[in-house]
Amino acid sequence: MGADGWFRHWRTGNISGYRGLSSASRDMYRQLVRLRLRWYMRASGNLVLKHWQWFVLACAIVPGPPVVAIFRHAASLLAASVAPGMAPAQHFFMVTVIDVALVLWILPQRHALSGGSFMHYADTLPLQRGVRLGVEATLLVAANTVMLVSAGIAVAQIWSSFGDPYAPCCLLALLGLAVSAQQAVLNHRWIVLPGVVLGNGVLAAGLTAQVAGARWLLLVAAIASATIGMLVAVRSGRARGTGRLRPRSDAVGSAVRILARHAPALLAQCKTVADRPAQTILRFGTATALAFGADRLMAIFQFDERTFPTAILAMAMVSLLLAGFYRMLRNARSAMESYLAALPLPPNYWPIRDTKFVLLLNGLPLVILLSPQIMRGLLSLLIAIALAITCQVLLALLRWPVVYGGRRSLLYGVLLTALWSGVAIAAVSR
Amino acid sequence: MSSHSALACEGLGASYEGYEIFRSLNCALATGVHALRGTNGIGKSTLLRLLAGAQAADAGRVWIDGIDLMQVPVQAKRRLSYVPDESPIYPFMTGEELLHFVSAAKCSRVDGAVDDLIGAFDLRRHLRTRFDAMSLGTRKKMMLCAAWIGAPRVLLLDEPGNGLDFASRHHLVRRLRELGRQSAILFTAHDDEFVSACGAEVIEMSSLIDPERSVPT
Repeated sequence: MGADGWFRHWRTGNISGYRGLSSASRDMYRQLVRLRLRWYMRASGNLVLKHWQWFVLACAIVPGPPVVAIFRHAASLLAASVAPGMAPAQHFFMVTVIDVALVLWILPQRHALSGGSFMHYADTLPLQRGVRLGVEATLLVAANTVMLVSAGIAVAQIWSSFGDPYAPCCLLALLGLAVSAQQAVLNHRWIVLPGVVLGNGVLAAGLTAQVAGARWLLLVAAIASATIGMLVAVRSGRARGTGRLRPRSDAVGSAVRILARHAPALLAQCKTVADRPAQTILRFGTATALAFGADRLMAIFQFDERTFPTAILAMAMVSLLLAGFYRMLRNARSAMESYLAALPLPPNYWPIRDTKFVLLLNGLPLVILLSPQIMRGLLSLLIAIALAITCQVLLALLRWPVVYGGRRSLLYGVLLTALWSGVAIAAVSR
Repeated sequence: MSSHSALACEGLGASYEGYEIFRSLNCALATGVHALRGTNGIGKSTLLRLLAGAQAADAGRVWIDGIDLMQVPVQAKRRLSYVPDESPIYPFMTGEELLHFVSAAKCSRVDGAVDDLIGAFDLRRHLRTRFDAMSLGTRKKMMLCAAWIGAPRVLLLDEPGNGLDFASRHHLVRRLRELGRQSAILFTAHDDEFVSACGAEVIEMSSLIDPERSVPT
């Protein structure tokens, strides 16, 4: 059927407005969910293509058969969180860790889940509340498919182990609380989070309660706690987007003004990383945690001959992690690249500034890694400085594979880092 | 003010990243064509987004044909159409998919008026073209056609003449004048020729923000 033929058919055909309202709502739901899922697949597909290395790394790190092991380990964690035999504080800790993990899982997907700028246009259309909620729920299910598969395995494990409906129900409540936390973070409805934390506490208390009635009562109270939080958020009208409109503090305002005047490039870089809080916190937080972890490992080794290789390997891994900031900074500028090219900037203006910025970020992990050894007299100040400088050189060199390596960037980065680590360990050992 | 005007707002406030764009903005528009004019960045597009419900206001209320947009958004939006300056449509959507989507959302149908507009804009051959394969002007025309669905009582258009060829622009002017007899149309434009061709009453954005500083038009 040609466009004209289709149009005549459409005009004379059965349009949703002439059917019942529920039928129209179903039609609307089908149309919107199809569009949103298509957009979700497209946006999340791009995300996977961009960061496929992390998935490969996850498959390599998690012991067991690739891919399957990730689901099995996640299921074991979920099952362990509601298994009996732990103190309330341990239950609370595990439940909170699962909440945080699921929020971190959903954060990189927020652009794909938002529906893009099309949803700003769709917001001006008379879409029923039920249709919107249905579509959002469907999208959330799609985004949590990995979690749902793991949850299914976990429920099967728990059921076969205990044969009691209480633990599977607790697991479902735990997932409900985690999804509430995801929704709160995605929609900036922070008022929901205290309800979720309280729900976690009540759930943990219920898991260790001795009386059956009290356990079920506390389970219901945990769900009610999160539900009340969500109802309060809806009633207070903190709709999507409005939560972000907050006055900037004077201190931040002054800092921004000073940077704008004296270091506009640094301001642009700071704003770039601040604009991607999840990625920034995850990357920089992991690098710092890695440095602290290496410190702890060296203490466990009682600073014997394994200390230097541990520190050097940690420095190499931190460099690999922080090198990702090169891509973040470059991608942020890609939209205005042609405009920037027309400005009278010296050659390598941005590469030099990006390198300096990332080297600056490496300062904290380096201090964490090297200061205990300097303070204990294991490493002379001169050698420590030399090691720090070569590490910074490695981080500067990592810009090339990250920026120009394409899909092999991680491979080239790992090869370069391995080479540096080998040379550094050999040099320090002598 | 709220119940007698086709489009009205009271105490409307908006800010972006902590910066106030305007506050306590009031307006009441009867049927007719109105052109919103003002310097770049004064908040014209923001005001249209707030009036259309595309952006949540920090404060204030909006009435579309006497219906509170915040209290009963679905009923209010049935009487409203909005065309943003830039096309926010998914790149994989086709023109016909957009028209179908909007007509389903409004529980309406593509009537003769929309069909005529599609013909006048020479859009029939683009109905099955994806948005990412359309030119800027074609996208704009498709969005304008979608705005005519459901015979809106209020039409909010952000720079409607941008990117349109001469013939389409001429046709749009004619259609705006026609629709203005029964609906309230508010559009932003910097083009005085377009504004006068539409026979639009000019509203200065600065006079809405600061009513004391009314600028003669």
